[in-house]
Amino acid sequence: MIPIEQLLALAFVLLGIGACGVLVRRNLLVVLMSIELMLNATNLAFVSIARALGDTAGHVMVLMIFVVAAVEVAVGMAIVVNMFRQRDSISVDSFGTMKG
Amino acid sequence: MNIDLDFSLMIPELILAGAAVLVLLLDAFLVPPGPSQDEGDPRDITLAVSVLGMAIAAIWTITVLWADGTSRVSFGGLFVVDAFALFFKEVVLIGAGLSLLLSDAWLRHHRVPSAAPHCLMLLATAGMLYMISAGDLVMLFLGLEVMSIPIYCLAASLRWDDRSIEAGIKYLVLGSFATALMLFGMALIYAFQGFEGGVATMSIAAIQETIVLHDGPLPGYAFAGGLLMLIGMLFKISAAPFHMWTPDVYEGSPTPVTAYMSVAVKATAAAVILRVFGGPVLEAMGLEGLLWGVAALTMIVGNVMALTQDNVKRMLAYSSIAHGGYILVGVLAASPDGQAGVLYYTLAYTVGNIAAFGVLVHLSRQGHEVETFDQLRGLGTRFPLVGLVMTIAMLSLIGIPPFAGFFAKFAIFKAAIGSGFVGLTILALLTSAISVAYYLRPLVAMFMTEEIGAPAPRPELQPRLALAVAIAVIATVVLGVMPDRYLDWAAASVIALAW
Repeated sequence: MIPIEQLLALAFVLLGIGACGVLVRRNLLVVLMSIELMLNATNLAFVSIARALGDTAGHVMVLMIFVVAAVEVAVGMAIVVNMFRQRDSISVDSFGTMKG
Repeated sequence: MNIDLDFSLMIPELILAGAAVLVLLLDAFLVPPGPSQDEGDPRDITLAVSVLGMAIAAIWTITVLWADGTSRVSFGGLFVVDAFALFFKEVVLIGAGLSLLLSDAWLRHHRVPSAAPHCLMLLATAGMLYMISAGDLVMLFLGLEVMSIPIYCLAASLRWDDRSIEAGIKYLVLGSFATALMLFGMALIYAFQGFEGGVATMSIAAIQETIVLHDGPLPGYAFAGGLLMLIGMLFKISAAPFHMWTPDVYEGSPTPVTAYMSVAVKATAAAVILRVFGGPVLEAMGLEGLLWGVAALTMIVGNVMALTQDNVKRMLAYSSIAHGGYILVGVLAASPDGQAGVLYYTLAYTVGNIAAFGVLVHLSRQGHEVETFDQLRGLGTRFPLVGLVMTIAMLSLIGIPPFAGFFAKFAIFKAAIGSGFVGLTILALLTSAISVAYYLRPLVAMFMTEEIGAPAPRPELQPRLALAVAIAVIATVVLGVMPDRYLDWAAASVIALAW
């Protein structure tokens, strides 16, 4: 059995990669994918902790996160598609109509 | 396993969710597609359903649930109904109901072809109520998302407007980012509870007990977990340095949505911070010093940046950041006085802010958004009543004695000094003094300068908007003239949090 420290370390690394993706990438689709990666990193953390503890609450939480992540992407994609129709671009660089 | 399911505790939430579904159905079957008409519009029905839903939920909260008086837990510890939760639910319902009335005038002016914003506001409010009542991390997370996702949609609801799209995307990306960090924090805290507390559970009360009873400093992973959870909450209350999204999202969103976000989301976040990190928990987690720094930075950034704005909505966004800082001072005080101060503060801030945004909605038309100080020039002299409302709202937000804001700040500062935060209180007083400069700017523009160019058309009076603004102004005055009753009410509410 893989020890929990290694699983949590992997989850933390995945969370970090996702966070870097959100902050660095300019394409909004990739940004949404990075958010998914962060949420899946937390899923990994929850299931590994729940298995180590022999408890079901963590597994239930993962199911909830699945649902919410799907909803978030659905809403995010809708807004991104609308932005593409409006601006012909889904790059973060096209922002900047508001300053201050 | 036998779990008791007491649905009677959840009636306000169920009413809101039911009203949201009803509004969608009515919108689909009754309302003809196309922009809203001024008279005899079937959209009146959807508005009536939404407002009635909010009103019944608020009345039910105050009469049936509050009158019962005891703290009750149901759904296997997921759902907590106590005086503390009920006070915040009432504040959120007042803020949401008044924003809903503002949004009606705005939807008509801007010819938005759907009642979807009403439905989204009802759903987001239901999420807030669930979040306030959360007794468990799972419920906290679900409530947070049920609140946030409709608000992402609301922010982006002007599909043809560049600024609205930008606001929606920024809020969605940064909001989900903060949620993911908070979830990771929850996982670590869950691990701490399981390994150190003996029982693996996500119950907030059990976790708090484990943290407070733990000898010595927490292990590193538990500290990191608490930190990540706090960051997620600070993001929602828009505390510096997690405030970057606030000005852009507040400026780009439709004005009534901005009003809704600034009052209801902030009150909800304050409630959750108080419930999760309240009392001795913050200190036991070793996060007290960090929150001290965040509160100080938030007050400085909010007040100083507000000085440099030309856009009233943006100025109010920075002002809302600054008020978040004052709320955090009350959280830090960690005494019953400080907690009661936070409760009263959210109520006072809600009504004052709704009045200010009401003025902006009243003056705006499609193609003529009143957003900058220049556009307000001379309007106070031409429309004295509008000027009077703005004056009361701004004076209350500064904290000038006859209005609600004064007693709110007074209660929080007094509690902070009582708990030994003298330096922070002095900083709060200094930044409040700075705030006078930018809160007076709209008044100077409205009363002491001439209009530029052709005079703006006289805005027609929308009865529903007038009702919302009148309620907000009367509440601001009543809370300021007779604060005792409401301060006592707040003090009675925080007894439920007692340790």
